[in-house]
Amino acid sequence: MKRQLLICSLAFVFFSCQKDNFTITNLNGGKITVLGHAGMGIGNTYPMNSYESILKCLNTGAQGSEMDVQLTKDSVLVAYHSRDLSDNTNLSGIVHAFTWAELKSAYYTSTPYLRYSILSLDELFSNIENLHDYVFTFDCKLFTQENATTYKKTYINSIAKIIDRYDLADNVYLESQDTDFLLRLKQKNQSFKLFIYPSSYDNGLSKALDLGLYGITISTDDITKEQVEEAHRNNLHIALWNTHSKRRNKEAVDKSPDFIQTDRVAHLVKMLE
Amino acid sequence: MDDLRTISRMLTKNKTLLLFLILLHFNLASNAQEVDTSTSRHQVLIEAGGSGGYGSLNYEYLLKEVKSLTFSARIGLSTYHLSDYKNTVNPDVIMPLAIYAYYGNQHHIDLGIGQTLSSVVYADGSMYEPSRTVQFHTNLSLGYRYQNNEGGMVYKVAYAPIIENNSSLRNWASFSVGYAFKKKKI
Repeated sequence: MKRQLLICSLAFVFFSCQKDNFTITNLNGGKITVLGHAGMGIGNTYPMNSYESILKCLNTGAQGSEMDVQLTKDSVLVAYHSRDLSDNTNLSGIVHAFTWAELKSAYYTSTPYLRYSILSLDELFSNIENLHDYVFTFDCKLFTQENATTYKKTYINSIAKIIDRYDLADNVYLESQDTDFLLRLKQKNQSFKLFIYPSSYDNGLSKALDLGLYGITISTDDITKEQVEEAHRNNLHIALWNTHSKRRNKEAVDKSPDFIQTDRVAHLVKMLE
Repeated sequence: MDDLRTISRMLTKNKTLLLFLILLHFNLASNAQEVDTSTSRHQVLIEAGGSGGYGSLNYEYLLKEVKSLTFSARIGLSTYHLSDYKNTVNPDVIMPLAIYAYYGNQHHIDLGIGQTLSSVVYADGSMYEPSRTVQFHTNLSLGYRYQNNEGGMVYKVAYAPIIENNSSLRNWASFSVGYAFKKKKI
């Protein structure tokens, strides 16, 4: 009995230590770029998009981070996810209704006793050592109550300015659900790497081809391995998200995307080492 | 040293906590000679939610019994992160302190009030380096406690609101499982 137990334990240890082997074929030379989902992802005690969450993600070994980007009333780009600040901060209303000075004193309220601050992209990029070693995806959230055209123009100018200021042209990917916004970004700068974030793969593929985009950002639930291959054949990069468990990380890797925006950063980094 | 100064400054400002600590000190001193009690004095509890935030480990000490009314003091420990965002070991510390009064024999109505000390590591707003911030918060509790006088398992569910920074109310709840050590008779 003891011997059987010992064999079982050894087998368990052996199989749990076994490395996953993947054959990755993508547009990234067989390497998947690991990005944190707004830093350390959903379910972490660091609030998504906070400085601490994004820095923790980079220090855990990710190649970069996705972040949700919104525009303040005074044209400052900040990292924040929800439409309304009342979802998880002590303020209420949309980001665009506040100046940066007003937002700077706000804090996340999602977890008792923790008061992390809202982050501007300027604050982030000016405080990352070896900034150019990392890549960042801006999920551009367009929430405004004002004229949409003026808002988009200001938003795009702010993006162009921050990319120029920190010389991040090769390090930033821009994603949006809004095709008009993507088109305007393209008109602003042909070299912007643009991703569409579509409602379905087929819809994304046709729009990405029409607009000549860099790729498609899509939930791993909404795309198959064959569809990833099809996108690659059309020279479109694929970024997958919605990988909030180890199993989902593995499923996403099996599809050979070019980027994974993960909620389980440490696991994915270790798996792809 | 700066942290100690901050704590001392906050203690001077925070009269509830100061009163709690003084009461606790005198109670412990007056009970030091008593060994035989009708109820076990020491308990350890694991709490989900409650004054520790997402959860905490707690030690509870019975202060006084007046018929079916019991008073106890509790100290807990919890954390959110053991290492900071630079991966340096630099734990957040959440330390709830509270006094409880519970009425009943086996089934009790349980009331509690206390202060929680939080010492959390944030990026400071100027250099963006990890920096510790110490704050005090009020914790309250109203719930049901199952506990035998002779000791054994303890269960408790409570509505446990937190007044963060003693200014903003957060509705919160707790569920605790613990063990009351058997009473010792000499």
